[in-house]
Amino acid sequence: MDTSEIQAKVVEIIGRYAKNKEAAATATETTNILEDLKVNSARLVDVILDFEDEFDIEVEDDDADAVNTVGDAVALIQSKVA
Amino acid sequence: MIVGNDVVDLRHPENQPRAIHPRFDERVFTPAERAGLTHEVTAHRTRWLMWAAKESAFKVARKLDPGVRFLPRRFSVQLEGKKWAAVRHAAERFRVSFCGGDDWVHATATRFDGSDATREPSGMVERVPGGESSAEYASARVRALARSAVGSVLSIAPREIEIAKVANVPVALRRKLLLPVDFSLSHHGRFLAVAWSLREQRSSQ
Ligand SMILES: CC(C)(COP(=O)(O)OP(=O)(O)OC[C@H]1O[C@@H](n2cnc3c(N)ncnc32)[C@H](O)[C@@H]1OP(=O)(O)O)[C@@H](O)C(=O)NCCC(=O)NCCS
Repeated sequence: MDTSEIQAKVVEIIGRYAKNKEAAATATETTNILEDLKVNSARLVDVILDFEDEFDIEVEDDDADAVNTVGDAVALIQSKVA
Repeated sequence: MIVGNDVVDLRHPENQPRAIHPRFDERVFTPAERAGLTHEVTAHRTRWLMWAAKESAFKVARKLDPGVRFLPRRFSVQLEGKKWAAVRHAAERFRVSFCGGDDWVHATATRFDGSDATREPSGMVERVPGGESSAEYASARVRALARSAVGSVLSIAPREIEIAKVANVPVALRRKLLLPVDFSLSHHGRFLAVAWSLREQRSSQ
């Protein structure tokens, strides 16, 4: 899976939980998941678990905590699926 | 006193047992906490009480140490009846009080040092008229509540108070000077909540 495919899937997953749907529709790699997309912290847990299922990876708590932006999520997933 | 809070709308569709991820509990709760989720009738409320306890304690921990991260399983919760919980994180302990109704819970946390256990922070929960609000409304309205609360503690007109953020933590300013009231904001679904307390003044003696 290439970077743009991962990013599209990441944005789709986060979009399910984003309160700010408009910002989710135009999200880029610098978009902040909590601040810009207004995903709340409980839903961020669901986002991480959906990443695990979708990409068949395991995300440790420490890795999950370092995910602030869409780009962080894409980089993390890329490092796990490689 | 440093305070943290968290409000949860128990009827929000996204919080329902069938809506959360099947591994949610495993991801955020310790085995001991999960043992409290085995009764179907009480599991939903207990889940969100424990979550709110963790998040409110995190907000206090983060003010005490900006390096603290929200890794939910590391904030271990011991419920003490329906109104209280003790939370541990590393060497810190927090005392959490709960209030709530049929469809919401609000947790307020303070650091527990054994000495001021009888002092409680103040809190206020407001139901959004007409159902769930936009993120913008929630943020603006909860700040208006915080300005009123801080203003009433210090006898200052709310319009003179500005709510700013320092490293993501909300603070109250008047003419750019930090006011001596610590507070915490939370909003979820149909509810907005503020908790506050006068910050301890250092004794000059
Ligand atoms: C602090 C935090 C836990 C709040 O979570 P939330 O459920 O989304 O939101 P709440 O409504 O309870 O609280 C939001 C308010 O908390 C305050 N807040 C934000 N970060 C804060 C912090 N680090 N310390 C204290 N208060 C904070 C803000 O005032 C915010 O309100 P605003 O957006 O109107 O300014 C969240 O913003 C956070 O920093 N999470 C860290 C990462 C994470 O959640 N990981 C989950 C495990 S994978």
